[in-house]
Amino acid sequence: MTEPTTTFPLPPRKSFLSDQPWVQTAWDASSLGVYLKCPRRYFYSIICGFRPWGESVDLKFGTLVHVGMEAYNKNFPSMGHTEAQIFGLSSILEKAYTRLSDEAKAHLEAEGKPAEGFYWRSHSNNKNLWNALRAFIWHTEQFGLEPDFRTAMYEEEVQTSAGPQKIELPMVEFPFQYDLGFEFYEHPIVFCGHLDRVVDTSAGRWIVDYKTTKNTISSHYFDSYQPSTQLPGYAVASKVVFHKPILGVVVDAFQIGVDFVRCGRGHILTGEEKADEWLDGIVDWISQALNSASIPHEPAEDLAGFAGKNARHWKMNTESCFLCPFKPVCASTPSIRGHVLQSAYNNEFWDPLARQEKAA
Amino acid sequence: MSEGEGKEISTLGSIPISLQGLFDRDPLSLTRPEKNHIIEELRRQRVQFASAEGEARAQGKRVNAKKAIADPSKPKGLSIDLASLLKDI
Repeated sequence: MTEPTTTFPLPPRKSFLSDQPWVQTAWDASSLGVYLKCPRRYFYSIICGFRPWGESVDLKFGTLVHVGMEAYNKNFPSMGHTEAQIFGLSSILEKAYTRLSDEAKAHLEAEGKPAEGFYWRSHSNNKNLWNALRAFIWHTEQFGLEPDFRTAMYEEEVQTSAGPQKIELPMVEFPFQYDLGFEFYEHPIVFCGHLDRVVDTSAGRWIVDYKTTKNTISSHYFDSYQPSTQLPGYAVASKVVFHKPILGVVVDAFQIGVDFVRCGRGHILTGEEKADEWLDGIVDWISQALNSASIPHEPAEDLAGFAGKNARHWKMNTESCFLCPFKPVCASTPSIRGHVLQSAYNNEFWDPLARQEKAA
Repeated sequence: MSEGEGKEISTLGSIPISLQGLFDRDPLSLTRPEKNHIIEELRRQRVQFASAEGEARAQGKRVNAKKAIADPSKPKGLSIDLASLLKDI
């Protein structure tokens, strides 16, 4: 007779406890957003790392536009506008390109087939490579040269042959992390994330967030960010990390059509009162999540088994099932949900702190 | 239904014929003039789209984006696929 397993099939992650790998101690807007939609969805996707098979076009497209903007903002205005655009364009192309391994090349050449790498091909007429390049160039043409909207700089000490020297760096893809002021059994709980870009204007400092959408950019579109799970967190980050308040968040939106892109800019004011209210709210929500996490979870040999045994600790919000990727799982009989997860989902584990380190 | 679901297409997007050859190559092999060429084409499309959209708005109409940014290198009266085919012959 084999011994029952005592291990957990979850990988070690920086944002989770090592001895209780379902307890998240570093939270970001994405994981909190999933929890707010539905605790069960949070358990399946953030804790257990289940993702539906197939690529997320929205995620891939958003990443391409972000890498272009990042390269442009890091190089302009220290370089010229066109030069910075070339950097951005090169970054997008590089990110969209897959090179073949030597083994794959040899295999294809032996079969007399072309052994070239390839660019990302999308299943969307809107969100594809050419439109990512178009979004990047059209946006930087429209907004890149605005004089009173400059990327903020910060000083960092670097070691050179002449000793330590301070250099100025642009605040682009700028990581932040702050203590939420409470603990889970002596482990401090933190909130972390990235700021796409920090800008200084004559009126004060703003944080810029890039959003791509198929919707028309109007006042209704920008209103959808008030209130928000994500944006007030930037105001708190600014206060805690920079010791400097911000006026708010600039949402730089890209409407992606099949043959055009419209770029729009909305200003979302995030005053101190709003930021404090947001902070109180997320502390309550994360405490609630940690209450569920504090229930001892049963070990299992594989992820599907772990999910099947422990999902009951994470309540379903049945008002959030529309378009939820886990709807087929929750719609099935509880005893077979592990099998549904195993057959229709793959695994990709969310780890906000590891993501920050990778970006740095 | 989420975006792209159930569709059979797989595309790089509507890249003008004059630039399609660049997207058969490793990005590291692209020269600065070639990258500049891509940027100039996208700038041209933006200006044409903005102009067509302005005209359409003045007339209370909607802009036809595809027509507005039409690729001047595309032979008139031929579809993109046929034009590519003829180019390869």
